[in-house]
Order: sequence, then structure tokens, then C-alpha cells
Amino acid sequence: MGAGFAQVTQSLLDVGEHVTAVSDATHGAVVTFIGQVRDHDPDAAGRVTGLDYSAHPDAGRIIGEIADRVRAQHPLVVLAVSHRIGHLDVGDLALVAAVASAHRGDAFAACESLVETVKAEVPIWKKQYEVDGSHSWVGL
Amino acid sequence: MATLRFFAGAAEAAQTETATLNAGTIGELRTELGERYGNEFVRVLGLCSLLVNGARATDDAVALSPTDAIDVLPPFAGG
Repeated sequence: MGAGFAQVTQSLLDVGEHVTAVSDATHGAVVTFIGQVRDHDPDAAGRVTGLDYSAHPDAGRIIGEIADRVRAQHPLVVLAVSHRIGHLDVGDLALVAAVASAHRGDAFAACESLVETVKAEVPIWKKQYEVDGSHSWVGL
Repeated sequence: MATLRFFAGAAEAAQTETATLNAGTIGELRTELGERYGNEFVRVLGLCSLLVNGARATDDAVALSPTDAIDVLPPFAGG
């Protein structure tokens, strides 16, 4: 049985590493999610060139608790999820999730719940840089 | 004195990541911080949630003690 993991990390994210961590011979389905840095945002006036993600010191514990809750709601899945922090360029992966289960229904449902909850509840902030050199904080 | 930590855009608006102050309640804390850091900080603070010793404080009447640790958290923007 794959072990899975949940982490906040400064390292580059690798989708294959997440898939490998959740896959085993009992799983007929693996659902993945990739959140990547885009070049525009409603909070930015101009084109976005990159951003800095920062996190509260408790962010790693909280993403782990979210993973535990999703597993409790979907006991038949194995999941792996990572949020990257630090400086990211357009196209870089910010959030990667992989959820495996015997059948696709559980994996789809658990992956959506996992991603939505991570976005809502993990204390991470986004400072985005625009093409003119200015910056803005998303949500402020 | 209570100890504060400001994060992300709240730290930028306050131009510091930490502070100490005396306040009897969350409401007094908000007033004191507004006087100290100005209008832009007040705008940002209005969007922030406050953690007192790790627990969210949603009511200005919440009492504070001098040993409290308070985190000022802007809206989360992960993903």
C-alpha cells in the first residue's frame, strides 16, 4: 500500500513523485491535480511575472491535518499533496496532489476535497510581481 | 506586554514582523495598532484574522493577557 504524504516545501514539485507515492497494485485510479503559476490574476493590474509564496510556521502541520481529515472522509484512498513556497516563476508548480483508490469515484471526490481545503485553510500567502516591477498581495 | 507577529502583507503594511503592546481586549489591540501603523495598516488589518495563542479570536471583546502571543494573518492565498 502506498504511504502518501502531505508537506509544505521549498523544493521543486514533481508530479511523478506524488503518483508513485500513492500507487500500488490495488489502485485502479489515480487522480492528479496541478496548480501552476499563471501570468494574470484579478488582483494584478498588469501581467504577472512571478510570485513569492510565504507560509506561517504551522502550515506544515495544518496541511497534514487536512490530509488526515480527507482520509477520514474517504478511507479507501491514499493521497499525497505538496504546496511549494518561496519564489516561483510563471509555469512553476505551486500545488500538486495525487489521490489513488481502487475506483475513480473516490479518487475524484477526495482530490477535489483535498485541493479545495488546502487552498482555503493552509496559512500561505502570495505576493505577486507584475511586469512593471510593482507587486501586490493576493486578497488584500 | 502581548507579543505580536505580522505575516505577509500585514508585515509589509506594519513595516515590521514583530511588535509588543499592552491591550486589554482584541478591540483595544486593533485601536492601538491602527494608531501606531496608520490607515493602510488599518485597511489591511480589517481583512486579517487574529490568532491568540493559536486560537482564532473573532470577537473584539476577547480579553488579552500580557503573556499572549498574537498572530496577524492576512487572507490565505495558497494554490
